[in-house]
Amino acid sequence: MTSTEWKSYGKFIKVKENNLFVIDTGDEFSNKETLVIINGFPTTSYDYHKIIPVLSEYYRVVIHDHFGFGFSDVPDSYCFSLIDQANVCVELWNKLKLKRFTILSDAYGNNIGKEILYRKNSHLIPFDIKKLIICNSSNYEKYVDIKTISSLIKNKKLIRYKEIIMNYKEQLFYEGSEDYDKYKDESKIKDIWTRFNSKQGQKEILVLCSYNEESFLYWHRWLHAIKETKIPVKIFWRKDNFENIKNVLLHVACSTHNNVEIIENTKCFVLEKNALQWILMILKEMDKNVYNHLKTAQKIY
Amino acid sequence: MQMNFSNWSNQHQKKSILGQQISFIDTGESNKNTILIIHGYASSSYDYYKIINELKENYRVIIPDLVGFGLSSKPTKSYFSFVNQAEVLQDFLISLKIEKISIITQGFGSSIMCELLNVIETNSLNIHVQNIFLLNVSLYLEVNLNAKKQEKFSTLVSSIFLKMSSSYGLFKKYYLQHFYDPTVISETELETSWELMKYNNGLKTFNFVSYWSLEIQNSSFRWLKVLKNLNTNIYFILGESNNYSEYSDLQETKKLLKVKETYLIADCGYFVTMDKPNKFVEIIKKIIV
Repeated sequence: MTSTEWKSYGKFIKVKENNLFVIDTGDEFSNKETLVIINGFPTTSYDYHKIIPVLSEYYRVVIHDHFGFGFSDVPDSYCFSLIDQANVCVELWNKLKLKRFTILSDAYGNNIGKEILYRKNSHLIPFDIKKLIICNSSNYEKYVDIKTISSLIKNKKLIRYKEIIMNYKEQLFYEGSEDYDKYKDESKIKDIWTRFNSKQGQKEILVLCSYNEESFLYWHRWLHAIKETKIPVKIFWRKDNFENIKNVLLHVACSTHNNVEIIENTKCFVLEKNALQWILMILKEMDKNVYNHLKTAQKIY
Repeated sequence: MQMNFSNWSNQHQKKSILGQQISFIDTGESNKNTILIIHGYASSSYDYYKIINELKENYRVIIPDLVGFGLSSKPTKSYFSFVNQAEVLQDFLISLKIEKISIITQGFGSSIMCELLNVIETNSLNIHVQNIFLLNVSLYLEVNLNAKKQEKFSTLVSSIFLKMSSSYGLFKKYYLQHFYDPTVISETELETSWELMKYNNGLKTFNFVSYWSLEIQNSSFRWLKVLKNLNTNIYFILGESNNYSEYSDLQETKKLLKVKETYLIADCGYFVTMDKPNKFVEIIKKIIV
């Protein structure tokens, strides 16, 4: 499926005065269970195009592109904050009249999923959440570039990223960085700098700044969400993802609830290369019936 | 009667909201227009005690001690964010069945108000805000577009709060600096404010003082947007001798917010409601009729 075909498959819904690109494979009269996917970064709804048709046979699947990504608008004044992204989810789900659903959150979407869970625990949102799946569908290598940017952002000498983009001279940006030695090669710096100044690069900076800062600010809030919840939570992790391991360890250390399960993605499946295996791995834990059905159907193909 | 710690505590009511104990003033009489006061950082409902009696003749006055301050719960192990504060206020208002309010707020409280407005909008709650009164140092970080100035201001403010929380002597010194005429504050009032800060391990919450400027910087866009779309009258009521005026540009602020009117009170410092309570009440009574 091409991305243009994908676009025609979805619709635009006005949320906070901007157009949000939404795929909704059912409607409020659908008799299938609802599955909401909160996608990651830098993925968009299109990255799920291989699995959504399969899933839609069993579920009403709802997925949207976060503002600033995919086919959704890039609002003029938007801080790419996870709290904002969660607010958008709440408004969208209300507009779609969703009542009871399972949430599948992926990578960057995980903290949005936890934010939603926190609000649910505090009875601040009207939805009935059946399960929360926390996972990571992307290839680790995809994040290498992002890691470079995020380590630069952690540079304490810099005041604010917006200021950086606007005013800083190239070399200045790297001075005081923990990884300064890595950036002695001037041509490499030029390269990264050009990318930073592109629209996509600026977006990445804004997203990652918010992500880093909010992970820190709302750390307890999101840990608390998992710790206090009565909703079943399933966390998928992979040996090759350190960030993920750190989070899993924290959950293990804090959580004594038996409704939180931690499952290893032993074969390191990713959506890009092993779409079907990846979703089967998730479904095996999330919904045994669908898993069995799909497994049998797969054999027939 | 001297308004000391125990007299003040006796006027408070308690409620449990989202796992936190909220201590608050509510003058009742739901037939009157309701005013909600959201206090600033290191402050509490006590900063408004001088205006309650005058205001309650015409209005229902509600002043919660925010979580971390005054007589409310004080989480000392982790940062209690603006988002958390706003959710608590939202539930608090719902529990009191309040649908129409005017808000008086200052400093840190004005940022909580923004997040509250945002929560109200996101959850499409039936709470209508009729007037907003911003006192000194409200929204300074949010509307200040100069990042360096912003950084300088937040460092300055954090350091003042840290000093204030280190001893009664320093608290007194810094607190009094914010008045035009320091003699309007009695020793009992100073002691009560200090006791309220100390109450329930409160000084430990100052460990997180630098977090809030980070959260403000991260949320500014969201808040300015919600204020811009709000169909509410916004007023500034400021003391003329405010120590922090160099960090704000009223003209710039007016471009970003639809400010209906600005009142400058002469010979008045940062704490308008402690310094010139009568003048303040006069202005409010002129506007909310």
